[in-house]
Amino acid sequence: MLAEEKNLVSRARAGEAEAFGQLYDHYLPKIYRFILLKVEMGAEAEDLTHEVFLSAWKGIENYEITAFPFGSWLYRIARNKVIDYYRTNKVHLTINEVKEGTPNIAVAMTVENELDLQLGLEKIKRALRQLSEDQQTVIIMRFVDDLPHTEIAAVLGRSENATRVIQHNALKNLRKILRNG
Amino acid sequence: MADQMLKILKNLKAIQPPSVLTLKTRADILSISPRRRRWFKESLMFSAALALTTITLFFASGGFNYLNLPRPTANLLSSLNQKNLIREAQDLVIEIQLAEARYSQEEVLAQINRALNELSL
Repeated sequence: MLAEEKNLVSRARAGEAEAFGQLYDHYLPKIYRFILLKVEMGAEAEDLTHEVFLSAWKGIENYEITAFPFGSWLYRIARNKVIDYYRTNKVHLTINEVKEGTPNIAVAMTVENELDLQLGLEKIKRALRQLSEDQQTVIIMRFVDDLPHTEIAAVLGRSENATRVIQHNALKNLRKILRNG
Repeated sequence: MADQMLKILKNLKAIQPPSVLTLKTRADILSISPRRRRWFKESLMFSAALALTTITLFFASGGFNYLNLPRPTANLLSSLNQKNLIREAQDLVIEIQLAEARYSQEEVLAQINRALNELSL
């Protein structure tokens, strides 16, 4: 959790844009990654990320400070946005589309690592999209962003045990999909 | 295989948002003030409270008595025929009186008969 997060959230709720800006800077990479791994192209991920933070800023008054980080609320919004996106757009994945939408990778990486990551990303994205929505969420939050089960459970609106079961099944399915190519 | 998969997933953490999100979108979002919505909400709540107070004060101070509006209760009473009601009430009284008169007449007749009997004896 971001240090002084509660203070920042309180100030943001009072309408202080700079406080929300700090929350934005902290959570933007996580939310963007979360969305990017679920949708087809980078441009769509950008639009949806924009919508998530815009909704959060507009509805910050309705946010109630809980034991969970502010990020849990953002993940919930992001999850709903992605679900809405798939409801309204019946999209189909093609390899070309995935290549067109390749995202920015951290500048500090070597060229080899970057290539590995690009290939891995394409492969993982295709595999992830064959999982159920809950399974995708668990895999991304748990293994990409290292979030605890309690927080993932809060985002999914399920118990911690149920989340562990989803994780178990998700890993099993993902391995099977990757093995079969 | 499993380790490799988890390693790839961990590496995905290196994905960074494009500059358009870090700069332009950030500026666009923060240029919108959520205070406008709050101001609207607060003014709406204030208006509602004011209206409620006015209505309460109006009824507390006598309500429609100050206005020459026809009362709904008056309309209801006018549907009743007042004359009929009075006549019925009077008839009731008359019946009672007649019953009493009949009773008195019988008693008088009985007394007369008794007196005649005594005289004939």
